[in-house]
Amino acid sequence: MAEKEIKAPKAKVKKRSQLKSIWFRFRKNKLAMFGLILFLALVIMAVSASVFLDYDTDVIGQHMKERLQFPSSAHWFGTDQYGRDVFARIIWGSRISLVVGLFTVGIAMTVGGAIGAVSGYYGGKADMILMRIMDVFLALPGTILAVAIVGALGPGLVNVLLAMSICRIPQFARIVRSSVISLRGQEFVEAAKACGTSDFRIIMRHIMPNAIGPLVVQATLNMATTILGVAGLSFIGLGIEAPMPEWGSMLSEAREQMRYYPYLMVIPGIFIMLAVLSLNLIGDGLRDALDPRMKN
Amino acid sequence: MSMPLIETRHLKKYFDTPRGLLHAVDDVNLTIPKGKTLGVVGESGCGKSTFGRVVLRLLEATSGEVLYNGENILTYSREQMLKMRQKMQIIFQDPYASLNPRMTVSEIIAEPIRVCKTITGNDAIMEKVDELMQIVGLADRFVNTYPHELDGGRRQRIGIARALALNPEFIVCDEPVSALDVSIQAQVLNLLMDLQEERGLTYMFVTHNLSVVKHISDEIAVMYLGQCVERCSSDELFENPLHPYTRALLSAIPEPSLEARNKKQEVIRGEVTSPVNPKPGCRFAARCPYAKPECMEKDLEFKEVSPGHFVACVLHG
Amino acid sequence: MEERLLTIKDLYVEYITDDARVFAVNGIDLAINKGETLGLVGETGAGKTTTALSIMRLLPEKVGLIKSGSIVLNGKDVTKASEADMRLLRGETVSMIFQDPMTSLNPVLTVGDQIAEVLELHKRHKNKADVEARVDEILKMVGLPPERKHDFPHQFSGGMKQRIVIAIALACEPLLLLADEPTTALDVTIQAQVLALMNELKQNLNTAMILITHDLGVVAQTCDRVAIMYAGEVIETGTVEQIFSGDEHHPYTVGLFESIPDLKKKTRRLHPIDGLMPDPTDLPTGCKFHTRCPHCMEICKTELPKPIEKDGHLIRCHLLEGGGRKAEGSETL
Repeated sequence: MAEKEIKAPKAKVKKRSQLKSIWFRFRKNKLAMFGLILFLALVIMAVSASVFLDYDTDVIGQHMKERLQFPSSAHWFGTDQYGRDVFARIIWGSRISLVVGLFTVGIAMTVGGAIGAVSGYYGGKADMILMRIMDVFLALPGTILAVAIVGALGPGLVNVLLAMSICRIPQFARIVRSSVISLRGQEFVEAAKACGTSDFRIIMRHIMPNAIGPLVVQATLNMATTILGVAGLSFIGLGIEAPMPEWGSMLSEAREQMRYYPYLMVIPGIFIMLAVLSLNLIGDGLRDALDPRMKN
Repeated sequence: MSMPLIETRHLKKYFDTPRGLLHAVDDVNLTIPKGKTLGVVGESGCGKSTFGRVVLRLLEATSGEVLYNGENILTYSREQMLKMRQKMQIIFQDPYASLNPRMTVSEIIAEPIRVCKTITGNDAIMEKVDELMQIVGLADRFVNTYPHELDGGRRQRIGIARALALNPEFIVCDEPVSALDVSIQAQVLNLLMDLQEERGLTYMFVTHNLSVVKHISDEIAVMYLGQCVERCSSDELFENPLHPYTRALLSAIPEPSLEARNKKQEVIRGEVTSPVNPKPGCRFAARCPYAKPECMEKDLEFKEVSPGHFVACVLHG
Repeated sequence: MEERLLTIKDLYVEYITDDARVFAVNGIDLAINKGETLGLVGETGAGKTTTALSIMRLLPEKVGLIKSGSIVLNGKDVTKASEADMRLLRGETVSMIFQDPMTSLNPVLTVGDQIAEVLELHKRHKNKADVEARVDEILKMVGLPPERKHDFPHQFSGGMKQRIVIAIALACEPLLLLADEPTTALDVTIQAQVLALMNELKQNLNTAMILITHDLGVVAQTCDRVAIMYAGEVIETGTVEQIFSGDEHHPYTVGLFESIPDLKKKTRRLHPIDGLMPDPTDLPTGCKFHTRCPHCMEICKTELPKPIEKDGHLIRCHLLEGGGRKAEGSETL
């Protein structure tokens, strides 16, 4: 009977791995690839900084004779009010900015995602309690919360990272929770339950992959605010400590010279923008690549 | 009489809603003999889907018993239930919502096997998936495709393959063909019937489509607002319907023939009311053309009026 | 009496998306007289809804395109009408009921306001009081108590919502009503009520109707004539008698009938049509049905069959050529 489709003669269809097909879909997205290349360039810049720059002389060493020079062949991005080469500081600063951005969002996404998933999947009392806690966090302005946390733990890179992550957890929890709620009633979840799948596996294998879209977008958008947030903390003396370069703090230091030396502000701004742009493009591409429905 | 594979005793499922207690399934007693098909018919909101899920323990019953081979599975522990799940499966109505859009066809079909570890080793699992795909008539080339790339009929075949993956004995089919076009619907019905013959499966076939249910069922139970109002063999139901609701349902089916065209239909008035805090008595009384005061007095008994024909109505028995 | 209301000639409709051209409607001819009900039958993707949307000129902008052909409605070619003319035409000459009553009503307006809005748009009544009186009348007509006009859609059940949708569609007494699967989302007993209502209204208002459905039972109960569509073509058309009891049919029609489980006969197996609907972006040559047809011949694979007519019963199939029928152009439809 032709009703059953005829089996192709021994042409074994090989199972293609999930990662491979995601990469395949990602690669087709030109903008996302551009974002990826840009981001990799920034990473390489950060990693290789110490190869051709000496921290003590090039990055934090003050050369008052050369202060506030406009960009030239000697100083590609000019110098700041202490005569430090802006180019060197940008490159060195990328280390801190990227690390802070990636780690903060990574931690916030993992913890917030877990809280949101548990809260959305189980509902009831667990949801009630977790979400009220999240509401408390959301009720406080993020910066003030971060200030409070860093104030309590003391300044320093790790503490700043921790503080920034904690303030961002509720946003991720909220987003994940709402996607999980809309997914948990779907029939494919019920089908998984019908063969005795554990709750953990249902969440990780059936629910989270379908909730990843908004999460990825939120994560990339959050990178920018995180980098700027760290600048804010640095400015009031709670973030990265003074001579160490960091894009956000370079931006805020440049305020005094903004009128006559705008490049001091524009250049770190451009780099923050590039980092954020590349991550946004990657995020968009990733969201689409993770969704097999976008294949065509 | 041999022991039925599935038996429900005074099965109840109430939902707590802001408006009161919703009696989704209210004291339903049904049996399904091994290898047979019980059709459960009713309109939306009659509790037929809830009933199917309570029997599978996808929803916890409020009270009552579900006997599987004589054992009450509602008292089973988590571990016992895990074993039990391999014997009972479900096929869903919506072939769009019931398949995880992020998983490929082979992953979906393999998932129950991986979860229950009935087969181990990747190659062995893939072999089983191939076999299942062949059984349900899905070509090899769909192994790596995603559900959204396929049409409704093929998706429903994936759902069937997934349900068969654990070699179950009993399958609840929740409106498995309602979302499909007629010609595809017939293909899927044929497949389900072939599988029943080959593997001796027992089906509970939940649907609102009376012509489909007649075709596939040995016995039919008609539900109205959470209660079973009539139950008898499939032929008997269509030849000799007793409950006024069953008669109304049967006469409402638009027949694809001209003889029925000028026949005056028994159109029943009104619509299904909500089963929230229902009053005692027959729930159909408000719409029933034969309603009498005694219909409202007390809950009606589900009586056997002739061998194998049960009905809950004051007009009979 | 035999007054022509709508003539569709050689209509081609395509959807153009980023990566594909979907051939939704491929040269259909249809005609409908005043007061007549035409059943448009076919499976998902047959082009039924596209045909209806083309008549309303409501195809999705920039994507859906009427490639060629004409749709003459009450003497006016809608394919050439301006948008302003269409706005007048919609509601007054032709209106449409959609499948899902839940989404075709605005949830934040009372049903009375929604009916009144249509009346006001078409400026049928001079003052508010007249409009209100007409709203009451219309609600009574579809079997709902006029007091309920102050209620919001969510306060009604599915069947009642569909009655309201019908009330809105008929508010301006259009000449033609396009009903796209109006009862598919409803339960059988409610479907029977709504069909009875539609039959009654159609007779009282002498409205012509195109009933789009996949349910042959519904067609048998309500239609005067039937057109069966497959892959964007009308493959068979005739009166209900010709379709339901005639002795010659297109193989697809035969397959459709055999796919429905018969309530009267006891059969163990159904005899569905093999295979699937062809992909509308890549249609087969010749007869579109040849890939699934049990009687496929060589000629079917290359040549599109012409409609062959007998007493107004048209079938597009090579099997019937050279038989008692004569090949005709579509003019004799």
